[in-house]
Amino acid sequence: MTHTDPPKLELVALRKEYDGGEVVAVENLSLSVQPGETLAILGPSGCGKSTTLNMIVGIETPTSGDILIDGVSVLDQPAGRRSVGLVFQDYAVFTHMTVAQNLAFGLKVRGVAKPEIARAVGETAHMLGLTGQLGLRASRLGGSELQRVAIGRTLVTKPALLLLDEPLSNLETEMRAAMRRELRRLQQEIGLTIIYVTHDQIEALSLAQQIAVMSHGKLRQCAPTDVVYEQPAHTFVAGFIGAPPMNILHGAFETRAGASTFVAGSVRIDAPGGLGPGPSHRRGLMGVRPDAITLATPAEGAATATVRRIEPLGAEAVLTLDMNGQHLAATAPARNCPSEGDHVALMFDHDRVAFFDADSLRNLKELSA
Amino acid sequence: MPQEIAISDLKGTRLGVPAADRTSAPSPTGAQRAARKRARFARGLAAPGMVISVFVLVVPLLVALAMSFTTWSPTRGSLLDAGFEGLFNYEELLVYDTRFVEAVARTLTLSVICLSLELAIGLGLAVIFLREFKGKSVLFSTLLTPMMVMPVVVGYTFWMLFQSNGPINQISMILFGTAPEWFRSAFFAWIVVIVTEVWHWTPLFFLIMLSGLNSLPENPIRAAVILGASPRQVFWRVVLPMLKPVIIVALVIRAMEIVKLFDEVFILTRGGPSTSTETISLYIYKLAFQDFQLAYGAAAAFLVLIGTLLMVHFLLAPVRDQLLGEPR
Repeated sequence: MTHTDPPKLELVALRKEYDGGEVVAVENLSLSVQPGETLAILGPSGCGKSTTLNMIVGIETPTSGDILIDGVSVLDQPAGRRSVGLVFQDYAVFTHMTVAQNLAFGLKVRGVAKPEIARAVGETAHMLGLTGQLGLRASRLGGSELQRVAIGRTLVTKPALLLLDEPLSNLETEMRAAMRRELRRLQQEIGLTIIYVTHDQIEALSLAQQIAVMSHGKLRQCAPTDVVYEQPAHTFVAGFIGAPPMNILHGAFETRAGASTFVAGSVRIDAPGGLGPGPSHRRGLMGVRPDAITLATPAEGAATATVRRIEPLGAEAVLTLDMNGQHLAATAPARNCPSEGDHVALMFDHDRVAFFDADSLRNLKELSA
Repeated sequence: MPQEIAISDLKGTRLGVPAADRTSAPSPTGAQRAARKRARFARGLAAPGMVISVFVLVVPLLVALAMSFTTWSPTRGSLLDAGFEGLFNYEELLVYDTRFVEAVARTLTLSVICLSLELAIGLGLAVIFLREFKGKSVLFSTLLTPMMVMPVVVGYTFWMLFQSNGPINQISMILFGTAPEWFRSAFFAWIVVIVTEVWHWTPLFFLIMLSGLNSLPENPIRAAVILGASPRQVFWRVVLPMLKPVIIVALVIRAMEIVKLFDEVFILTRGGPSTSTETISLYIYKLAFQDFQLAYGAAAAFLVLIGTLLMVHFLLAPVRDQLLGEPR
């Protein structure tokens, strides 16, 4: 992949309104996906993620904005001519056909020659482990097989982009892990560009290289998974991703002689320079992941907190801490973990904290960039 | 609610025997005794209706069946004195009575033609009604009206329309300078019967197809579009196969009705000219009530009943699993 390659998919200021502008489902959405990349669009239900998929595939028309595939606008192309495949949440397999007929459908309607269809169907069935089921009626299949048929039916047409709408949410838990592995294998084997809509952050974190987090029709952040996890662009992202979510501490930045410090109660943490010009004392928020907090025995004037609740989760436990009225979650090894009511000292991993503006709730790193 | 209690009691009984009796509890508790009492009461309520239906439905059916094995006629004394002739009537009908065989063939041909037209037009209209257009609801009600008219009235109306000096011929004279004598030729009489039937019953197909189309799942259709199918391919390869159970049920209902087709043909053509439009029901009517060959007519009716049962069985075969719920 060279840098001159256009992105596989580019959304430019995409907007979708319903009821003559009364409802805005998607607002000013811009993002790009590189070839071979997997992007997860993550967000709570009703955030506009399915609408976005429908617009990319062409079954809904955007109110404004543009969709480019391989650098070419596809807005004037109808669904089915865009080389985009969509796998529905309920699979939408043609139950009146056999598995083979389902797989062949996309090629048949394009008028591909029979031997070519047979070859492609055989190949896809082999890749998805459906060879034994080719002659079965699709109505006889179970959840994960239906899912495979739905994916295979789309892959047969060799789409430039594969869109998956909540692909794992209809499967039982054990099947989910297997299917997740399967998807990762497919993605590596055929170098497919995948866009993946989900409300399940584990799914997003485990499968995607990039995560786009949406809420209320707006894109909050689109970045590699580790960036989204460690440096959320917005407090919404910080609160949405991770279980338990990122802790947000309310405090203030104090600037003395060019060096900024974040102060919240007894917590004092060096904030990176370049917070920009501003008053020497201004309100701010600090985000810290529960696993970036280390507990110690209280000593030499460090920040302390009281353990309010302990939630054991096997290898580790989630502790709810009370620090001068602000509640924090922290993880600790389940063995020799403090007990409820204990006073503990808190050590923050200075490389893993994020600072947010108190008014716009956006990450200060992004604001200064 | 007391009604609900009564209904649940009836569900618990089979052939009028309360559930408690079948389990034969050693010492009935108060609740069981109360349940039995309620079941007995429910049976008491149903009894008059059951007695009446036995006399109105079952007894005549059995009498007719018995009669079909005789050569009895009301002009020949009591049925009880009639001798048992075995399958004489049935053999006569199937082997020698060409008029019966022709009537059966004619009725089948008529049903194939009428059902094809009704299905095509009804489905076409239903597809049009999937879109929004002005005056849709008014047109919807208008389209359904024919179905609500009595067959006799429909027959009489079309009989008048197709008279030699009727409105259709007057328009035909203006347009083409010629008009057929509709009821004098077998070909034109068939057209009248078909037009009447199709006009009368297409609305039923339209209604069933429209509700069927509206209840189809949307995503398979979308998936087909995304996979590159043209609207025509989507219709023939996805929508129609998914609609198949609905279509077959509609066909079965209508096919059973056409076997019973009587009133309209009776008023329009009386089966004529000659016997060219004589349907099976019309022929049986003539046998039984014009020629008073009641026993022979009963045999014919039983043959038709068996034929209808077989027809429905084979028509439903391809969708039986879907209709009954497929075992996984």
